[in-house]
Amino acid sequence: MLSVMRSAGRLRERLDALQNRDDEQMRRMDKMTKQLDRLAARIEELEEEIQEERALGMRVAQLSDIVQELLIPVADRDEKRLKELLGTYADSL
Amino acid sequence: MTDLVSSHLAATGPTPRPRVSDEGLTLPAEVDATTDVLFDGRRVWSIAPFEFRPDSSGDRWVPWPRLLMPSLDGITTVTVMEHHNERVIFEEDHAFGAGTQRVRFEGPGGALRVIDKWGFIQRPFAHQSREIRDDLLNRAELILEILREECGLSAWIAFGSLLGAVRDGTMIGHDSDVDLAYLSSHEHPTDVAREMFHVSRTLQARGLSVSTRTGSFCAVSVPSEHGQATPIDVYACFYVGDTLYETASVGAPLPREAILPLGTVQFEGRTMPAPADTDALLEASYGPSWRVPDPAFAYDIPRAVKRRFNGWFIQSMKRRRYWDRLYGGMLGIDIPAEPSPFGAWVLPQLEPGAAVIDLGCGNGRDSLWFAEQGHPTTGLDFSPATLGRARKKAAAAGLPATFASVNLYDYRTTVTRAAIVARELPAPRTVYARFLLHQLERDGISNTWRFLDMTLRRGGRAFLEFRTHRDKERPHTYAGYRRFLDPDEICREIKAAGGSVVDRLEGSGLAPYQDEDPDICRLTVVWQR
Repeated sequence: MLSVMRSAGRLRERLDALQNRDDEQMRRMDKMTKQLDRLAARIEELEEEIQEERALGMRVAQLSDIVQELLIPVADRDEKRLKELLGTYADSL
Repeated sequence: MTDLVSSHLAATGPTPRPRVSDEGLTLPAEVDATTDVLFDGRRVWSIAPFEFRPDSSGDRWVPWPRLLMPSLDGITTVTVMEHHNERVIFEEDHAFGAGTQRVRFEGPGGALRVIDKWGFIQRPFAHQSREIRDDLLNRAELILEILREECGLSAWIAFGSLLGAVRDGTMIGHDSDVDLAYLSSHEHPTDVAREMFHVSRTLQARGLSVSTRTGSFCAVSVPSEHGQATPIDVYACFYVGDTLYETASVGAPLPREAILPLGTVQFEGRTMPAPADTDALLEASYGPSWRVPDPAFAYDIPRAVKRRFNGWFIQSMKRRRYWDRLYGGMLGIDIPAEPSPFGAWVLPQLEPGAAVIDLGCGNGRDSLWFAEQGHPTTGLDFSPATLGRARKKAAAAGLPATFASVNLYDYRTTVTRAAIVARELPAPRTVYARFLLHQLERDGISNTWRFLDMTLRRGGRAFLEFRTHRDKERPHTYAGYRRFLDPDEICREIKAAGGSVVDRLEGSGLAPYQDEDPDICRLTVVWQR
């Protein structure tokens, strides 16, 4: 009888230990899942940021085209040429 | 084809109710990919189902395209099948009108015609006359010469045209355009885009009709006998490090020796420039099985390549075909021609004779009305088709309304048009934008603020009307792209961009249309500095 009780006690201890280990693993899993979610969100954010930066290149191209084709003649104060250029530049876009 | 149809019908049983009528056809709920319609086994039309609103059962009613209507008299077997795998969705015999002959949809001389999913008539090369093909090739050679001699660029026949040339020395039968490419002299996408702007201008200066589609792609329209212009597409290719980028589908490590020095290839009996190693480039474009013809080929563009091109070169033609088709009557939607409730609301607030700029004027219904009421009006829109029609109406009625193009997705056209308007129209001006903002993506809205800043800084007001976030859950008469904007956010953006909201009205009951009563916001804005 005594040995049965001892065995039962040992089993309970082992079960408790296993339970604790499961709880610990669950906590770690939860933590990892949250970390993965955070990383996925961060990647999405970074991808958006990269696209924003890429778009800047196009804006620079558009602005420098306007400067080259329109603003330099404006700086020359050539009113007739500017009027003509505004028309032809708009038609060419 | 016939065997395929029979076996499919045997497997699925008879169609429960007619899906074909004289007015259109009903697509079952599960169909959402590009779908072909055949008359007596011959393809006449391709449909993009997602453009049509599903009913309560999920089915989509799709009207026959306007350009097909005149041919719909007689009997035919209508087969509807998925484009990419030719799976038959349904097949029905139908008698259109009172005709007793088989329905035929053909051009002069019995030439095959197809209406593409944009509603335009296409004639695949296989069915075009020798004269048309020659004219197209003459233009392609002229463009190659201009690129070489005036732009100093090495250019070649590319993509589908190169594929047809290397395989058979001819155009691919089902292809309906010509592709050209050049190797940019730059590696930075900003410089590649500037070079493309220069290329577009140089081609235009030689009298060609050119549309700059992105910073790395332009299209030259070649008029054709059947009305719909045939495009010659011109693409930039460029290296970043050792990776070759071919607009807008390929980013592959390919040695420069695969491109230069250019070689030649026979194309429709002519000697045309080609990359040094055509096989290597075609493999990069179409994969290792490029030699085997595949009419259903679809690019599987790697995500990273797609993202790069979208980010670098900006698609500035967003949904333009939709607007061309909407205003061309191809979507079966009636656009009112009478003035809108917003126009009627704005009119009493205008100074007598004040100039109006109708930004996003659509069919010009309000522009023409403002002009009728004595306000010189400039209607601006994205869709050249609708501008042409509005111009004709104004001219016929002798109204002081002019119409010009603006693309709010293109910074250059936005600021240039704003500069022209600011110079030509006396201040103070009124900018009127009805149902514009909610049709634009963020970059379009941001350019709209730039336009208002440039046109209103010496005085005047803007009247803006748009759908609010509360309208999202309300019933809508038609499907189509639209956003639902939070007026608080729009007011914040306006303030951040330098404007001030002086009046704000919102709610339903302001712009009812058919069975729809949208929740909208009306803003009056000034932008003085």
